[in-house]
Amino acid sequence: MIATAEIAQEQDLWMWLPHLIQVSDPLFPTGGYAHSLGLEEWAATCNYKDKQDLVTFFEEHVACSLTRLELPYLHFIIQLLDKEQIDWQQIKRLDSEINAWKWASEIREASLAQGRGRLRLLKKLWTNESIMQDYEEQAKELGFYGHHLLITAIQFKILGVPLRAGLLAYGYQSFANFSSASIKLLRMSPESVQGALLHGLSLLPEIVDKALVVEHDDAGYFMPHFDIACARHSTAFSRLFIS
Amino acid sequence: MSANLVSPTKDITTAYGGVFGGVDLVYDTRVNSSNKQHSYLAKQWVRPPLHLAKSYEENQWALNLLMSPTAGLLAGDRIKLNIQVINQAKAAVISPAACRIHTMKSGSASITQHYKISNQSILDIWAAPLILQKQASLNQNTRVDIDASSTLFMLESIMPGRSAYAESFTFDAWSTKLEIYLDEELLVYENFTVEPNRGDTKDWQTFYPDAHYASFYYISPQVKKEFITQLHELELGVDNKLGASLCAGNKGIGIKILSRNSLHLRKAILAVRNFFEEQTSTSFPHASKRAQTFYH
Repeated sequence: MIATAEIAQEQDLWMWLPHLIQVSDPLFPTGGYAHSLGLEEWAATCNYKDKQDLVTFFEEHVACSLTRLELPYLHFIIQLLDKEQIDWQQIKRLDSEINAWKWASEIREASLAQGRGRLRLLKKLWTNESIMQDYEEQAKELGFYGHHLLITAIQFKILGVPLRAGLLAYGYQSFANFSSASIKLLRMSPESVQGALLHGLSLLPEIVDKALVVEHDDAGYFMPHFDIACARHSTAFSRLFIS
Repeated sequence: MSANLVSPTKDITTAYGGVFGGVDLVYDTRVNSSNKQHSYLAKQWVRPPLHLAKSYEENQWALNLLMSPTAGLLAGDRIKLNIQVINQAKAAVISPAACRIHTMKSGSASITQHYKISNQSILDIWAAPLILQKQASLNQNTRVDIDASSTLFMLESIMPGRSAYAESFTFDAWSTKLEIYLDEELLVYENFTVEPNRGDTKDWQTFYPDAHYASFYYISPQVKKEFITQLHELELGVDNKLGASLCAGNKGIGIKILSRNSLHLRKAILAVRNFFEEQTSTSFPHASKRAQTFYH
């Protein structure tokens, strides 16, 4: 009997895992498939062709942005949501900063669209969550933008996802999103894309370690060329993706 | 009428190991003897290493040249600029000479800027580039407060070393924080540190190994979405990359430029300024073009 109870307790401890897989899966319809998040124009600008190009992009852009900008902001919001008395004003400030540092308008709009999509599903699937009700009230009062990073942090709070697991999952989604877009943009076999994704994921533990120690004043990363490409995508003659 | 002196802000004092100076300027309007409104420098306070040339007034604009007699910043130097434009004033502040951030054995220099534009006023900040020399370290902190009736043209450009010394990305660090608030709402937020030694410039150098960088912000009630397409259609050749994007809330436009060298950077920046002059019926004072010798 004792052994059975222990096993049940152990299972309860890990119940966040299947839910995390569910919300991180491309099946979870947040609209991510419609965005290349800058990769379409960047791949054209750099004349990307194969797996090695995608690996380079992961190393020189995605990994840096996750380490120094996106995951630190996710971390800051998770920390605020974990407090007994949630400081929604401070969360609003971070949401506004995200809105303002997403320099290219398409990237900003993509983040808002994915945030809206994720929020809509969370409300439908995890009803009666007090954090969701609090957010809705505060959103009306303070006027949140509702960026994807913020809604993702709320989602992790609802599911009880441990901090490090949450950051790893967000990192996986980023690499997976670019990988998914690359299938349509580059002449790569699904096996090659999986090879590149595997490489990206191998970088994740170190990315998360570094992101966890970034202070708010130091959070940010400079990618002028990528920003230029993201901006030019909005007026590109032809394109497959919204961003 | 001569400009009034404004007492220095409390924290402007000489700091150990460097100079702590700057400017505190207020531009206002008044009616002249012909019963026409014009802009003028109403208050000023200046302290070395900055020098403010005599104010010039032209076609409703007030123009000032900011220069550094020491030709740049050394370790420990701190510069603070406060510029306020009120009551429909039009102010152009230019620095016609590139500002060197000199080689430093240790420490860093800092530039803190606060621009405040209100009540249908216009501020044009047109500075020559900052040159980040070998082992230089610079901290920049810029805040802009603008209301929805006013207009800002703000240019910042960076050269990654002295070309005469074949320096390129040998500076130690460039840290910058930029916040632009429109009616107290955060519109633009840039915050980063670039250290070439830790590989932070791979993106910057993707196409041009010595890429010069410029950032331009146009905040105005006259912003139009079609400006983005038109800016992307500017003919700048293969030696410039330009991207323009609407800021949050579509109340402004941010432009980033990367150029193969300073000659191409000049060409791109002039093209952008000419574009806005033509499209927004903003007639920049001719004197500012004449005085901005770095670009002409």
